[in-house]
Amino acid sequence: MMEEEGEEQVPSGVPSLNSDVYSEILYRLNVKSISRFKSVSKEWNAIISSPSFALNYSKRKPSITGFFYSSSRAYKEKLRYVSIDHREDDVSDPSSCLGFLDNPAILRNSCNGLLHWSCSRDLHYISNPLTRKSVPVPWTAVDVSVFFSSGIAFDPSVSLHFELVVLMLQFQSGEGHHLHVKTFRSETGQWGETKKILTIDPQVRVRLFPISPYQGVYLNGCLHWEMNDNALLVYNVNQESAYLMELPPLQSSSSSYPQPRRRRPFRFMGLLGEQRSNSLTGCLGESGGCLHWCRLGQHLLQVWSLQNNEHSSSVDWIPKYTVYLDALLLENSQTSGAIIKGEILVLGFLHDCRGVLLSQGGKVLAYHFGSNLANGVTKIESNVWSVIQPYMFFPFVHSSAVANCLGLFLCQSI
Amino acid sequence: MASSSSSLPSPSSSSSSSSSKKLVLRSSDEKHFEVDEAVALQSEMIKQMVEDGFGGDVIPLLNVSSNILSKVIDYCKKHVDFDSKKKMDDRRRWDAEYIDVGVDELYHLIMAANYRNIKGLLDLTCQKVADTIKGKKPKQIRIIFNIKNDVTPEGEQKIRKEHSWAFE
Repeated sequence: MMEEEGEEQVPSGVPSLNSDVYSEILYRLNVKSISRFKSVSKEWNAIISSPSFALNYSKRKPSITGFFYSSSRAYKEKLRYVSIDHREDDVSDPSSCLGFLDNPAILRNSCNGLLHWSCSRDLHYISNPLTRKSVPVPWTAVDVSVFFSSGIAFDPSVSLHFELVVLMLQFQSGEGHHLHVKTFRSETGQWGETKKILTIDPQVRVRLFPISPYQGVYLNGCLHWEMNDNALLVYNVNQESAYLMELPPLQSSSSSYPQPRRRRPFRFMGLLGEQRSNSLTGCLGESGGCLHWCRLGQHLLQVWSLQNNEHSSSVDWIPKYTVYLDALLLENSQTSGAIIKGEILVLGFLHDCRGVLLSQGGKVLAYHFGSNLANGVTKIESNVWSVIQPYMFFPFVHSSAVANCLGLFLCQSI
Repeated sequence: MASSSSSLPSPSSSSSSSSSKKLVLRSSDEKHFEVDEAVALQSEMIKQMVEDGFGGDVIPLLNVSSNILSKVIDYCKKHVDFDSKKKMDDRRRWDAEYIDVGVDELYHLIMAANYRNIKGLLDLTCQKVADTIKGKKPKQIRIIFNIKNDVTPEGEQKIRKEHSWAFE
């Protein structure tokens, strides 16, 4: 067989390229092409499958290429996928990527191309919809009665392993509240020991709760949850330490801009956390190694970056952009139509914090800070909701399909 | 093969200031090219050689032919100019025209850019190849790169199964 195929190799002026050059070429292709080209030859398969290729590839690619949203609750049948980077091919039919799930599953979170599903009280999954692989995570290890929040720690440009972090809040009379952490590591396929990471002073934060409990945001080696009371909970995954920090101040009353809506009084959170007011929730992103925070109050969009203060050796939120969206959208009204009616919500940052995705009146818009322009990304398909809420929004990135991290261990190929 | 004698750089055709330092490069077919140091230093490899004290002599480039070397020098010269002007549109237009070459020449340019470590040229040539092969089938890729198919049918089946979405 080999001899026969060898005849294809007609000597020509074309020199054979070495694997470094092949890598350089392959870095410039999208995930779909790369995955297909694994079958070109053993050499190509070895190049593309190597961890160093996956790491370098992820580093060069945007941090968001699309997003899932649920058109009702986050059941898989109701999921939609929207591409925002048209150089990448769509995840054409999200439900087809999730055939491993027999029971109705709820999409809880996403992180760099991995999805976190809850199937039942006892069983969750982490899946990679592009490679169609999944890892079952036994949820029996989690004490649901004290569940506080969770998040996936996965960065394919750093490591091909992920960790699923669960925080639990326990009350001990006389001592206040303690946050404990339990971590499921893909490397071992097991849960680690429960560890105490933070004691919360009962005088200060009696009612501390995460606004989207399952949607920890993983950036710069830390998971982040937006809390009520304008706070951010930060958990450093490697150091296994946590702290609370203030988010940038809400708009002061001296501003000529409309005031953000008053926060509604605290209510008990529904199971899916749908009862909260979204008008003040923001989103986190990373650019140049700095954390960025974007908040939209009424139509005032503000972005801050977290920077070290050299004088006081503290960290401060430094304002980066302030955009009054009414003015912006009116400027572009000829092309985008009357899109300022109703509430606008901020869903997430675009790559490198160069813009944000906004949800408004049944549409999702991408707004770019540099050009001050907004363009439509999708119209939502839903009978139930008229607006995509932040907790229904799950950013996605294609590049981790190359990392194929779930193929390295415990793989359950469908 | 196109004649490139008209574009061969020579001391008299150099428009840069006469005080700038020159380096002599020698192609695999023993032709000599005298270029401004700034032009040659676009190559990280030559830069390293110069830093290591190789400056005075002729720098031999064993696996780059004179045709390709003169084309590479064209690129480096132009980009030394561009670097001082920062006109992105001009640069893009020039690059697009420059890289509009046959497959053979493209491969030799990639090899030269890789061997001599010229980042800009490597970017340009690899992007051109990537644009050419995206969307192609593995079989077509083997023909383009003259690659022997050593993947067993079972192996191919496995890859297809694992990445079925990519073959749709």
